[in-house]
Amino acid sequence: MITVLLPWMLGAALLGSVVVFVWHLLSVRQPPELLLPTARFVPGADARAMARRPKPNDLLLLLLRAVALLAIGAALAGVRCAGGGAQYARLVYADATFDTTTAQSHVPSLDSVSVTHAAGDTVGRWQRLDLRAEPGVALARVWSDVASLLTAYPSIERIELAVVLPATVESRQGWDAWRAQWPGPVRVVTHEAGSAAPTHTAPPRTTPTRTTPTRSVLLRGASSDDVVSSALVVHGSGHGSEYESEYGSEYGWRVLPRDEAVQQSEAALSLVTVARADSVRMPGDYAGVWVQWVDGGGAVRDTIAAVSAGGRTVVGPFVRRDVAPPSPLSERWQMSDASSDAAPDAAPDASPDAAARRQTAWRSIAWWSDGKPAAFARQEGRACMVDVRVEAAAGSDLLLSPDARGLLDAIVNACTERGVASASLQEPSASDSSASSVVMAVPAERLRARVSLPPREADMRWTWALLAVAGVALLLEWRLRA
Amino acid sequence: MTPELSAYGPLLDALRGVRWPARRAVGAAPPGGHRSTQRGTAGEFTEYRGYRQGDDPRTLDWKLLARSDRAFVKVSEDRALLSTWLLLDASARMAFPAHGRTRSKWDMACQLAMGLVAVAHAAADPVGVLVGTAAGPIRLTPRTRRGTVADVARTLASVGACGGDPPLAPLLATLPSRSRVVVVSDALGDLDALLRTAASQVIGGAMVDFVHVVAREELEPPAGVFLARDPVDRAREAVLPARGRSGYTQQFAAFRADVAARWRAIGAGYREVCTDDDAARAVRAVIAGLPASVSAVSS
Repeated sequence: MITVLLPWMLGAALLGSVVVFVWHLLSVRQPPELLLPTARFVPGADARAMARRPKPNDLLLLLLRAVALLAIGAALAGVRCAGGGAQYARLVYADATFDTTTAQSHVPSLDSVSVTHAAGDTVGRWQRLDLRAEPGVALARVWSDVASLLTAYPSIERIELAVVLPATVESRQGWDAWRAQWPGPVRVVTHEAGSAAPTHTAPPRTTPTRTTPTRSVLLRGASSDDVVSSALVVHGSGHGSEYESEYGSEYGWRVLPRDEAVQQSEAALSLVTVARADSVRMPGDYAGVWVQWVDGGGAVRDTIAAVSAGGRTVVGPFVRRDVAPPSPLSERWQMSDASSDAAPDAAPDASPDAAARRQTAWRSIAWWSDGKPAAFARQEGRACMVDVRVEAAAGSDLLLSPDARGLLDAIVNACTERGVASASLQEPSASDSSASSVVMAVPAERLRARVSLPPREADMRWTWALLAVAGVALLLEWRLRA
Repeated sequence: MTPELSAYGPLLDALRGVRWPARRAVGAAPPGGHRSTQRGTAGEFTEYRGYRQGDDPRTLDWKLLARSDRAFVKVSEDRALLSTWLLLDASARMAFPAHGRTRSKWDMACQLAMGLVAVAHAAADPVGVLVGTAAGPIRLTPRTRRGTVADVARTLASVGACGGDPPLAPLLATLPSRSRVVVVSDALGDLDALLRTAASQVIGGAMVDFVHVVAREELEPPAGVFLARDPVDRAREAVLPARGRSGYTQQFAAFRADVAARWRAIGAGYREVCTDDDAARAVRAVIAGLPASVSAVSS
């Protein structure tokens, strides 16, 4: 099988060959010679004249020049010719709602891919990620997996990327942001089975929900100069509304609109409480967004990191903390009374008051630049639990920047339902079911350069061989012209 | 008639009876057919002239003086021979055009030379030929004996192919000054040096005529686009376009006019002869000192 690392370079070589062919159709010839004793009186002029011929002249020269051009183009384009045993890798990222062992039976199209390439060795890897909330996580994770895959299997020739998604995902912003990084088509496989897993009763909306300007923010366990409190106060103030704050020993900072009397019953779901200390526990009957954003209290560490959420990315000296999802028995998320006895990861309740007692699994709402989750969220009854693992430096104003608005939006709207048809993530060129995996796969050499891996020795032999052919052709062409 | 001479038969027949007088009186020379600058009693009586103080008393006609008591002197003119030299240019440029369909400049030069030799030999003038070739000059000393015309024909036939760019000025300098010299060339060689030498020859008393041979193909180059290359200087080349040749025509005409003016300025005769002119008429034109076209009309 022939693979091309840089097809445009091969196209440029082909274009050059066409130019040479056209050049051979044109011939610059001198007019016939006339021995004229009075030639000294002829005014000077260009001694050449252009002529066009129906057939190319100097066929041997044309052949040598075309061979040299194509060989150079093929060498620079990274043309490789692999045998029948070439390895073919497939990276499959499936939503966590899919079972790894049974996903292939759930997704018949992936079975057909395996049959098509039964002749070659197929390396398959499955990753279970929380793709329903943000399918772009699959694309964010792929580079580290590609690097490890190519390191473990140096003979891999092509890699296909497949993402298994439920029929509806919450957002495509992250997908659009990361999609340009993968130098080839991405196979998006949708299945209704994924949508049968945790869903919300709220009807899906095709447009993302913006932050409600009149949301009330409570900060607990925070100091007066806390960076998170400043960011959320400004974030919650909306568009120019004025707020007044009062300090309470129990709830810490409470920020309320000046002109609006907040009633607990009316503002239950619009209430955002941010706990900045491990000792602060969510009440069992809490209704609203509970953000567990524990202050690490560490000094400023010069670690540049990027957090992407809500379609925006903020870059700054964040400190990455534990990236593992919260444990169901995590002490941090133990409620302060006995009303939260149910296990956090329990199956959805089908009782009539399911809306009040509904529980979902932890899912990611923000990610680091390498795709690792930076914040998690889940719904517990009327409470939306958000666990933020981003530690901002003390005194930093990063969370006040416009880019941080995506993160804050994702936090306060963590349990707000949004819906995007995952079928829309499939590119038109790759949506055809007849598209073979040869077309869908990306040459491994192109990915090696992306992940800073050196080219294989065998590939360099092909390059040197093609360059040698080009050199011989150029030498013969020079000898013929001489 | 020798084979070399037979090629010139029609020309020689057309020139029979033509006289080629000297343009001015010839200096001291053996008796011949040209008017001499010498005056004397030994010569043929011409007229009486009144005695002027200083005349040689021996020229007085004493019998007339005794009869009429008036003093007259007898005036007579001497006739002298005039050696004629023909200096021919046999450079590579004279071989143009070489395709053989029309007469080349060298062929025209040979026709002119044979015609002039025949006319001069008919007047009992000594005739010599000097040909500048790439292999060296070919010289035929002036002679008046029978067979001189045939000797000249053989000499010209021995030249063979033209080639190189032999200078004519050194050859002209070797010729005696009291003679008639006809230079037949295309004026594309050492023209400046040739003019300087000819000027000194004219000052020395020689009668110099320059016959400028021009090919019809030089006046009207063949149609089409050509890479014109000088036969002698191969590096000199230029494209002759199919149209818009006015630049070439004007420059060549200006050159010919300049050559004519310069030869006439030194007191030499100048004739331009085209290769497609009738050879006999061209010879008559040279002898009469008229352009070939005028000679053709007058004849």
